[in-house]
Amino acid sequence: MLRFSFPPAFRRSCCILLTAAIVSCKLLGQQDFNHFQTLQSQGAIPGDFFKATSEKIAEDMDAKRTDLSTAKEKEFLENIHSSIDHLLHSGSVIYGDEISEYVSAVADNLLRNEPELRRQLRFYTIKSNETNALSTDQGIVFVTTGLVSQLASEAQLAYILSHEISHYTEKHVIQTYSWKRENAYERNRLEKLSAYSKEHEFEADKLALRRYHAAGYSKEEVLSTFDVLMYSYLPFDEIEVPNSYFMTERLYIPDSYFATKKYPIKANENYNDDRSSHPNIKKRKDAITLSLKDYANWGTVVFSQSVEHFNYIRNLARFESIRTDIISADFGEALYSVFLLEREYPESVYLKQMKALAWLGLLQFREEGHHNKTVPASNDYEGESAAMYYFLRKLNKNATQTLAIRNILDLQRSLPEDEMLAEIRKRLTKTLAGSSHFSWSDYSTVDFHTMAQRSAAPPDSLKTALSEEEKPQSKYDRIKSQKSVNSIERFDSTQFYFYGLGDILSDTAFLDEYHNYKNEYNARKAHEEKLNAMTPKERYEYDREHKGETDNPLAIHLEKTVLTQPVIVDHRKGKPDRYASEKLTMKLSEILENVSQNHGVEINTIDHNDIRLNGTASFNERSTLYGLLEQTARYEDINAFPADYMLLKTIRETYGTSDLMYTMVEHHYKADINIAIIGVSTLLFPTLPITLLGYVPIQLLRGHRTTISAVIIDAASGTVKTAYHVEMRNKPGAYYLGSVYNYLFSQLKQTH
Amino acid sequence: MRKVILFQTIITLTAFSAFAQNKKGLFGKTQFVEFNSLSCFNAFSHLGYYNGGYYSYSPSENSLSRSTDKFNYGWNVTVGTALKKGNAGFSLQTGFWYSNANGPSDLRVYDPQNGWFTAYIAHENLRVRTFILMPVVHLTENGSFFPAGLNHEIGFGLLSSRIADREYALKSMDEGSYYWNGTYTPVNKIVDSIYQSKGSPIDTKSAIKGYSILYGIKFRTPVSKNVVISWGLRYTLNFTFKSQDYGWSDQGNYGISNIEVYESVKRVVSNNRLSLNVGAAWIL
Repeated sequence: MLRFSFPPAFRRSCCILLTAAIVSCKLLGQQDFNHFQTLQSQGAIPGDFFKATSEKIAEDMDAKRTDLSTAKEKEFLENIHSSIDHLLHSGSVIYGDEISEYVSAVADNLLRNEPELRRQLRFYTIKSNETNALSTDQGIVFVTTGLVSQLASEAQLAYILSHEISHYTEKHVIQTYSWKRENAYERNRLEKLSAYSKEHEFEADKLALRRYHAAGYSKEEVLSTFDVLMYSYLPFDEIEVPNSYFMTERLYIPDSYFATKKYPIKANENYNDDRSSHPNIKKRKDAITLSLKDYANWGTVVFSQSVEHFNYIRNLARFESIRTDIISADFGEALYSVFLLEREYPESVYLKQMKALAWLGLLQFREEGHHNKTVPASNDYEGESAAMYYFLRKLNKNATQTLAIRNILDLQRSLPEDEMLAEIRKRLTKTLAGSSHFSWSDYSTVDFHTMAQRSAAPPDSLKTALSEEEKPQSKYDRIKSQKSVNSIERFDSTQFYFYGLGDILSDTAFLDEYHNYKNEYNARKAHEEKLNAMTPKERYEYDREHKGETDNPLAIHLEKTVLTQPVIVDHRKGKPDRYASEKLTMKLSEILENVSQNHGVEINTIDHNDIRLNGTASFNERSTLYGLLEQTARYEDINAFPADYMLLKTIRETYGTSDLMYTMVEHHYKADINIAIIGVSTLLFPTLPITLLGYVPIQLLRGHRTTISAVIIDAASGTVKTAYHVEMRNKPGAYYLGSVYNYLFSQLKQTH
Repeated sequence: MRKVILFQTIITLTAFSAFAQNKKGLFGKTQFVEFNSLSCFNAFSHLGYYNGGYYSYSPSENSLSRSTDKFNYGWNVTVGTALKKGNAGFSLQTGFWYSNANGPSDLRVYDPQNGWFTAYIAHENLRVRTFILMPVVHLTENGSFFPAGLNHEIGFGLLSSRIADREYALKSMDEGSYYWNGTYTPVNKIVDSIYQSKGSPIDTKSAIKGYSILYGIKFRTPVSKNVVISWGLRYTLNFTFKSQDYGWSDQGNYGISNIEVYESVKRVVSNNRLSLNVGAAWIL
């Protein structure tokens, strides 16, 4: 059979064209929430996202935007560009997407009489559940998905944008920077800075009214915007969760598991803001109430675009918030958001996938004893969501296992063709197989209600009813029967979880899968135990006998990998030197490509250069890969199932590998010269030459510390395949790095 | 903000990884041949140096002028390899160190009629060549790429010093006359005459042996996959074995005391020395 294979560059171009085609189709239509996909950047890539930091600083220096001296301006520009570029390249900022476009349209409305100002501003979205907006000195206004998800009207967004635009026009960023420089040694600096910052906030609140009023927005929406800010720590809606939400036809949960009281919302608008950069809500409301009187002839616009479109945009943000929760392992919040959105979109595949992921996450964290991190603690219980958090925290290990199995299997059965749900189910099965606290023998084939009825029935009649079905039993059969979870004697209504999976006990395909994983797990465990039980001599002999069977964890037979933005951070004088870092980072990509080539490993690098060449498609790929990395880190030692499973699948197919490589190098220089030693040797004068010619140069030479870290994550499963970390006392020179990566690739190439 | 988290992420995922391992060698290569030049400014490098009150002389326009021995140099060749785990190495170092010793201050001259008498002379500095053969253990800093990178060298070896066999200049420092070959002749003429006909009577055959202890810190900076530039500091403590009887360097009618010569050489050889080391190594 003849097979044609296309070169990777050709496959890549096809993929980019295909992505562009999909993006253009999406621009014409709206997202279908039943098949929601995480928001991605669209259209041409703005310069903010592909220009190097040094390039931006040079451009701004030429433009001379500030009144600062050249040195101070350079320092200022370095600070703001490097911090904003960190954000822009973090993988959580998107451009040209529907939310950013909507925000831009609202800004167009606000700035219709100020075209020059409008031209200076760019609006981007941050995928974050924090309720926030911020503007930068460069003219970028960021809006978080968390903020959009909380809004009640377009006018509220308009007021927030107007506030941020005022910060930009009044140059508050540079003023704060200058203040900090001038008052570096001020007493009570933090309090004074807070007061200074609050002045800016009051000024921006006040100035925001001018554009807001001119655009014809409604006066009533101004004060309600502050309510959005005040209650933004709560979920995006307040709906009671009925107890029945967690139950199914097969699974009954007793009332004792549910909260019996309501948790009041404790927010107070007159909170202590002494050390805060923003005045408290009451002060802001009072100030704005006075300022409102300065304007007459208020407009009535609450929505300049349709309400439906606003709701659509807000729903995008709300759907997006669930992914953010999953990545952050905030499963309690994710499940409450799913509950809220399921009411409107009960058939949404996305919601089902996210719900399954949340239950899988709850189970995995519970197994590792980290479950307290995944659901808000009781002192954070406020409002309707508290009932859900109370319930989730009440679940013990068995209950969590049962609910995870019940939910994931039901979700997967409702969408048997869905690949992601099928994979989540497999991960569930693997997790159960690896649990020492899980056994199918604990589970009853009889459901809770039937058992409850049997146990409540008069003993004699029950005995008669049962004995009619049973054959004569031996003593031992009777003991076994009494110990069985199906026995009436053992029935305990608080252990509802053992009576909710009866139907699954007859699902032979699922059980076979479980037993296969269990056998694998047991074999692995037995092998580990055998090795641990060996004496050092036995272990030595064993290792000699099995010399060929390498235990090298780096040996993963790597043939192809997608390398995500290798990074070097070069610290000088205690802070990152962006020029040196940028230069070295470019070198690092070259080194990695050369070294991998020498070892016959095909490497596809998605970095700044690639983004500059291929634009948005490449930028989106990098964001997805960063998303996986962040999720992996947040889950710590738990194998995260990728929230962006389907996007990662596209990347896997494009590059023909599921091995994703991330690497970074960090360099510090600090000579540990102990002044006391020099002091002592000065006093003992004859030893001074030894100190100056011996101790000092040695310490100067030993001052370099470079750490090189690399991790390879499997895009299909989200598991960390291998990780490598090494520290060297050299500068991150090309040949040192080449040597480290040469070693690394030589090991990665080996077969386990 | 989040970028910082991402950096930390990679570090977090790997920092506590049991998979952290040391690499071995530069691009996997662990053997090396190195050529080093050594230099030493005596003014501050000879720790505890004392010249014994002798003067140094060096030739200048057909004469000898007072001088100080400011600068010494040497070279060595090292052949070595990293040990199995890559965090240490072993090498064999051999080379020469060139230094100057004060020449003798007395010339003994024999007159058949008057017997031996002493002429005070200025003798050109003696060129001392010290051969060193030294096994060296290299201890690398954690994560270095031995032979490249920062490493500490500790060595213990043997040395053998000889005075270079060459024509040394000498001249009389004595203006007095002495009865010589039947006439009163100024001593400088006697010395010049002997020197013109027979040269300096320095014995260059004997060797001074001893041992040397080395501590060095060396940085080998790679400039290609195979070549490293090395630089660093070396501290050597040299000791000579117990003095042997060097005797008298007798040329028939004149001679010098070898004891004086070799004490001077020994003093130079056994100086503790701080030297700067610059070289290159080929990684094989």
